[in-house]
This record gives sequence, C-alpha cells and structure tokens, in this order.
Amino acid sequence: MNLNRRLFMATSAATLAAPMVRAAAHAGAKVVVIGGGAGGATVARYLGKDAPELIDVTLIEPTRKYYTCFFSNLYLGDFWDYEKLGHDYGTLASDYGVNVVHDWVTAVDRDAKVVRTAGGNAFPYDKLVMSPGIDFIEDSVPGWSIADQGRMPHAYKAGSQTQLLKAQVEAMPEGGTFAMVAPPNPYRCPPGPYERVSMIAHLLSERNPTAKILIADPKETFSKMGLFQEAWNDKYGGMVERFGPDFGGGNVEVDPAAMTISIDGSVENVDVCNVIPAQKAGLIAHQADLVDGNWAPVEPTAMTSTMDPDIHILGDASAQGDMPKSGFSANSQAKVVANALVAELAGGRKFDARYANTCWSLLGVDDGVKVGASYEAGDGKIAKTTGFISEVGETDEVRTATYQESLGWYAAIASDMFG
Amino acid sequence: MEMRFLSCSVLAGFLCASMVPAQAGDAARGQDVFETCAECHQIGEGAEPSVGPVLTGILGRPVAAAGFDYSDTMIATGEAGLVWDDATLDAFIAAPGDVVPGTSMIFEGIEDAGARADLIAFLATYSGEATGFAVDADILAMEGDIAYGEYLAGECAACHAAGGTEIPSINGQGIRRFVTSIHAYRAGVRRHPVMEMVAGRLDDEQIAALAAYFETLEDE
Repeated sequence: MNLNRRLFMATSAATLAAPMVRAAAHAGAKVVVIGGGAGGATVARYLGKDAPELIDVTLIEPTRKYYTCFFSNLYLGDFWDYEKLGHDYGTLASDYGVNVVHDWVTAVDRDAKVVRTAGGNAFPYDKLVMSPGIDFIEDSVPGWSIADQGRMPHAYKAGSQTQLLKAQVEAMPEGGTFAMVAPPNPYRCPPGPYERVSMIAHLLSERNPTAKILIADPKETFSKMGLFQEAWNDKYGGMVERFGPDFGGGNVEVDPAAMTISIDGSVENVDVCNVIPAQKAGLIAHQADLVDGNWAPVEPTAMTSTMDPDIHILGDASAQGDMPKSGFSANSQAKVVANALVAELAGGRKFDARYANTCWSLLGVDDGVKVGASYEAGDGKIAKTTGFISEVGETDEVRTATYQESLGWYAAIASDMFG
Repeated sequence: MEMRFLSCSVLAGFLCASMVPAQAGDAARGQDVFETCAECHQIGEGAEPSVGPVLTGILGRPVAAAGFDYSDTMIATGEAGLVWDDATLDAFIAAPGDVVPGTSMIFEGIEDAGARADLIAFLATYSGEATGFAVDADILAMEGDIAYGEYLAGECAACHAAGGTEIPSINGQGIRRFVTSIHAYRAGVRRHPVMEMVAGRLDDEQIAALAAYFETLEDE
C-alpha cells in the first residue's frame, strides 16, 4: 500500500506510512475547530493529513456520532437506513492525530485566544476554525419555540428529531394531514424541504394514500422548483398542496398543543407539523461577536472572519456569497481553509481558493435530480462562475444515473469528512 | 493442467516483458502504424471480426473478450484475469508470439517503442467514452506539479473515493487515461454536467497536476 502523502512544503516531502496510530502533535501550532460536521470534520482531517506533527488539531463536537442532515430525507422516505446516516470520530482520532473532544463550547475569548467548554476545559489556539452550523431565530414562526420541537419537530438538525418526524408520519391516521412550514431565505439546504415533501409523499402514497401534504411557504420560488412540481404532479397526483406568499404562505401561526396551523387566518387541524423556522448562524458565532445580522461575514480567499484575522468561519454559519448553505459547500470551503492554515502555520504553499457545490435531490424511486455550480473568490464575496441543473422531462435512465451518482457522492464525502 | 501451466508462463511472459507503462504516444502517427494491423483487424464504426478480433474498445477490455475464436493460450490468459491496458498491450505488440505463446496472431511484433506508443494512443481513441478523441502528445508529456494536484484534488474527493462503485475511483488509472478523460469533458466530447463544469475551469497545467497526483494513489 503506497499512499504517498505530501506536505505542502516548499522544500522536503514526507511520507506517512499507513496504517498506524498517530499521536496528536504537541509541538506545533494549535488549531481548534468548533463543530464536527461537514465543515469542521473535513478541516480537521485535512490538517491532520497535510501537516502531521506541525499542527496540533483539536476538534470540539458535542455529539459522539454525527448523523448527516444530508440524506436524512431519504431515510424519511424509506430509501436509506437511519444507521447509514451515522458516522463516528474514531478514525479522525486514530489515523489523523486529531484530538477529538466531545464537549460544548460556551465561550470564545478572542483576546486571550482561548476556547472554553461546558465541561470546564480551556483550549488555547493560534488559529480558530468555527463551523457551528445553524440555529433557529426565536419567534420566527408565531406559536412555535424550540420547546415545541417534540410535538412539531423541525428535524432540521439530524438525529433524534429525524427519527421523531418519521415516527409521527408513520403514525398518521388514514387520510391525515402532514403540514410543513417552510423557511424564508437564506437557510441550510435550499432544496431540502422540498425533497422532504417528495420523500414523505412517497411514503404516504404507499402506506396512506389518502393522506394530504400542505406546505406553507413564505417564498415565491425555491430551488429546483420546476423539477419538484413536475414530480409531485406526476407521481403523487394531488397529494401535495403548496401555499406560496400570494396565498398566505408567509402569514402562518401554529398551535402545538392543539395541533393546528393557521395560514392567512384559516385554521386547519394537522396530524404532523414540520416547522422549519428561519435560521441564523450557530449560537457560538453570535456569542463570540463574529456576526453581522444573522450570519458571520468572511473574506472569500480563505473564509477568514472579517472581524478577527485568527478565526475562520465556514459552512452554514458563514455569509458565503453565492454559495448555498450545504454540506457539500462546507466540505469544499474546509479544504480552502486547511490549505490556508497549512500555508500560514507550517510553511506550505497557498493556492487560490476554489469552491464548488452540487446538491442532489431524490424525487421518488430511482428519480434523482441535481443542481450545482463552481465558485471562486470574487470581489468581497464568493462568486459563482458556472453552473448546471437537471432538466424537466429527462429520461428514466438519466434520473436513475443521477440517483446512483448521489449514492457514490455520499460514500465519498463521508470518507472525506471522517476518514 | 496444461492450460494452467501455459497461462502461468504467459503471465510470466507479461511480467518479463518491460512493464513500464507505455510512453505518451501520438494518435495521428498511430493511425499510420495501424495500417499494418488493418490487414487483420478492424476498428471503429462497422468493424467486424476478420483474421483478428475487432479492436474497438480494446483499452480496458479483459483479454479474449471480443467475440472471436481465440487461441487456447489467449483464452487462458483472459481467464487468468489479464486486462488490456497501456502496459500489457505494449508488451504484447512488441513480441506477440513470445508473450502469448500459441497466439493466433502471427505477427513478428513492433520493435520501436515510440511506434507502439503511437499505435496504443490511436487504439485508445476507439476505447472508453472518448471515442475519436485524442490529446496532443505534448499535453500528455506535461510534467504535473504533484503538490498542486493534491490541493486541486480536494474538489474531486467529494465524489471520487478509492474503491468507489457508483462514482468510479480515479486513482492510478494512468496519466494518459486521466488527462484524456478531463480534456474530453472540457471539449464537450464526453458528456456529464458535473464533469463538464469541473473540467471547464481546469487549465492544461492543472489537469497535468491532478493527473500526476492521482497517479501516486493506488486503486483498490
């Protein structure tokens, strides 16, 4: 097995013999990574891979097993097993020398350059990477607060919320109503809510074909709209009804105790209500004073915070220009950040930032569509260069191939994140 | 019994022959070289088996798999798992009777390594999805910056992993095949929306860098 690993050094090259357990480096520059999702786990792995012994990487992530939000809709639709969504951090610890700490960051002292955790630990840093995902904006859906997530789940952070939502859908009475309150822009995973509707429509069309799905949507249009609407008409005829802003989709209230939704004053009983509230950067970004409004501004060449040159913010929490908030984007940005950090801390070569994103969505059995684009560091923001999108009326072969491709992507990105 | 013994010696024959991957060849010159082969082999649209099997798609094809009445040794070689690629074709064309004793291909071989490389480059234009498309020899000869390739490969890693099934692994496939594939996407000859987008923003130097980097990785 010859995996030649090369340091980004101007002078010497080093080889890492695999497999062996690597001790975390203690002599090098310290990088602390907050958040072990698509952004944080990827940064940690690339730093461990590209600058072993030179950079000391600590990854702080509360969950011991990470359940990806991406593909969680496929589990809702019975196309994917729940456990296949889960990934642990063992390989990052054993093979990449990452110090994986399962704890919750409560404060970032930017002057002293120390991260403090709920467990009472303090982690000093030379450079900090923050990839904390999203949190919900309080009171953005009247009648709903986070305390209600047990009755009206958001399932917009994967894990038990996703399992809960699925159980609720499966327990719906015959002919019952599933309602979704869709979020306003910008939010994580633009096609996500609509893929979810497709997946639940698929499940219901098999188990509960007289059930109904309502979407209350404050947005006029949404990602891959034509493709989703074609699928809903062709496959799930009549089951899905969407109320856009012209029909009161932006004027919504919910009552979790009574299990009702009110759209423009018209009240309806619901059996399941998936509330996806408006979103903002993960709380720690706010607590560390790194946001402007809801999101953390960054300069696009290396995702460096415009408010602190020693902090990089990536993934959903960042104001990332033209890039959508997605796991793919976070993974893409993480590599630019890793390259920048290795350059700055370990004398490696810095290359121009390159970003990309592709989002696959499953509409039904063997029916996948995708949208994607490439990006670069533009004038003050990440700017789109070119893009593509699946087309209405594609052949079955193309749609099946697109779905199969998404499976290949999932396998690859999971190993790219977790090793 | 005898079959297995034969195939062992055939494999040994391949191993003994120089297994350095063929140098980058020029497909246009290779077309001239092919005139010799054309006495027995057909290739491309409308090709049919004649004295020898059809050579369309030969690169990447398992040995003895093209619907032809192959010699016992050739069949045994195929059963032993050999696949025609740059290196095995190069070894065979150099001395067919030595490398696959008993082959029906009565041909003394091509001694000139450059001519063999050109021929293989020509054959490659009728293989895989890049049918009819070939990259200039000087592009293939570009030396890739491996460290730069490793950085650029971050973009590939989101979809391409070692041992990948639905999305193929791109490790260790050979410089010629890697470079030709990306150029084919960039030229719009090979079609795939994601790959066309990816290839569309890679220049020749970046493609060479990526090819050099992926050549350092093993396929599983």
